[in-house]
Amino acid sequence: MSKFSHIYIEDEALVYPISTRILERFPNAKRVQISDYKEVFGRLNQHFQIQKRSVKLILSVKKGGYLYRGSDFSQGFGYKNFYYNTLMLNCVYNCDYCYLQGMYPSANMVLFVNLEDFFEATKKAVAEREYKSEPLYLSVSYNTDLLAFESVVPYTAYWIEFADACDDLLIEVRTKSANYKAIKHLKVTPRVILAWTLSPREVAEVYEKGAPSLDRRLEAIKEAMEDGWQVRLCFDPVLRIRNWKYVYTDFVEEVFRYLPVERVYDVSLGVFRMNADYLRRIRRLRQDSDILFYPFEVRGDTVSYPLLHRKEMISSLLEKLTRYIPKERIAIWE
Amino acid sequence: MKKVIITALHAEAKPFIEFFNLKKSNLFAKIPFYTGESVFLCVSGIGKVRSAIATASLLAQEKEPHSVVVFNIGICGSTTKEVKLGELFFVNKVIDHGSGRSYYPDIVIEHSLPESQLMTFDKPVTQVDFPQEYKGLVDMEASGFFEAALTFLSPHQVVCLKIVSDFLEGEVMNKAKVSGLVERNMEAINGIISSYDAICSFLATDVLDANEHSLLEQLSMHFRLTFSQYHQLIEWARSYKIHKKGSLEILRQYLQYSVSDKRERNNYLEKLRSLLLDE
Repeated sequence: MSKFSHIYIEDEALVYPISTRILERFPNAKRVQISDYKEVFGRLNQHFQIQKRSVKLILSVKKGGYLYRGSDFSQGFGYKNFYYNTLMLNCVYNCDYCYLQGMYPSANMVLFVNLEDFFEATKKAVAEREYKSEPLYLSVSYNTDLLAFESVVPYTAYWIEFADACDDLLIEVRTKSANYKAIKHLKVTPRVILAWTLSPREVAEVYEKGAPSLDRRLEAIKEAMEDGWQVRLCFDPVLRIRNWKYVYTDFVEEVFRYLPVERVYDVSLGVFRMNADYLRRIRRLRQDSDILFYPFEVRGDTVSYPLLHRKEMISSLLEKLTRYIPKERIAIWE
Repeated sequence: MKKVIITALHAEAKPFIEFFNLKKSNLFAKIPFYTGESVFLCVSGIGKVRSAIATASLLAQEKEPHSVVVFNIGICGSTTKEVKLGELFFVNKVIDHGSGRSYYPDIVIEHSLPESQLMTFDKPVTQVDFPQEYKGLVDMEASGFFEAALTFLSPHQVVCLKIVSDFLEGEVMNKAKVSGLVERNMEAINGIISSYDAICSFLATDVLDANEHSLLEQLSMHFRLTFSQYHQLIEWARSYKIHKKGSLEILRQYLQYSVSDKRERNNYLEKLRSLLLDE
């Protein structure tokens, strides 16, 4: 985990043990006291990519909004009680295709330190969930990568332990991190799905800046599978790069040559898509990434590849994936 | 790229004028302004309102605001004697005493200066005037400077460097002493100013150069494109250059065709779109 030159901390957040732990972890970081995280995070005209050169950490106490209903963009995998929470805003990685660049006004990272309030709200939501026959499905690494931040604060571990003790809760921890060792010591629980996003080497090396290589991710996944965790593989977003068909064919073959197919819990497949306003904002700030300047098609408030391209990409990948995984265990986002 | 220094006093400005070999300009009748190769300087006068006026006046004229960094540099008081007289600080938070509003620069460069918060007052203050719970630097300009600068620029383009001149005990500062404080910190200040070169070069990211913009403008005039069609064309052109890595010279041939009505214009626009975007 890279160092932070500055830690902005809300007055109210100072008393939380997580804040103390983080301030001790970064003794050389300059501390700036603030009254509300939005004073820093919500400033006008911030430059996301310049801030990515020197990301600051903001410690805040979240006041309400401890979990949200999932949106059409997100993937509930058919779970009717689908929720997500935002324990952190922003991610340590800097993927070219990431929608956070257009969604948030800042690249600085906000960490909410009042974890107990999230737990309490989750317990209440589980008890009050609409469809009682199904668990409450909660994505806890949403708009961030929680496991990638585990060396700073072990939120993934806390949530896995919480989920294990909470009936009728199923959590998804989505990540690109190879830091499986940070949670390896935990008791394996069926109430957790570890979901790894995978991209071909050609994509990971060029467009997923700061993220671990494909090899390191595969090693982490294999270890988690061997330990008995439910592991989801996310082939999402699929990008229409040069020679994409060959690149993704080789990639899928490589993934399933290395990983034990029978231990894959399920698979998610989706082509690149993004809110049109987010893409417009991102294009204003950076013109250094070809994948962001693809001649996309606009559908309502979403941009993605033209319909024919989307269909071609999905059917090609699906054909490859179904050689290893039954179609009913593949969730598709076109 | 431009680096603009705003000082309150001429005595603060003098060492910069000499160091950067700046020349007096008559840009503003009532605000002393000095120009150099890439460094510019403005003496705002004392107080946050004057600082805001000078900063806003300069930035309002700026044609390429994304390639400017503004620095408010000058002397300040300190509420605590834990700092040294003459010590230079990188200000990381400015609080306006009157409104209670706070301003935060984005410190995106690496530096080795000590950092501090700073409170801006409307009038000179002594130890008895400021809130007891406040510990830090004190001045009369920074909040006005930030308010104005952040209207035009991003927070990483706004920098405040202050040198401690007194401990709010009513000392009288003479010009030579003020200039001396700045001179003694010139090397460190110049180091900070130079560090922003890398940030500014990172910002110059438009893939379309002046010739290409000129060609697109010619096409826009030629086909009598609407404002939004013109901007759409620019976006397609960027996409073409970045995604297909092609030359926009392929568009020049279209300057030989003329249009007489909207339908023809839209037909040509569709041809341009197809040329730039279709696979």
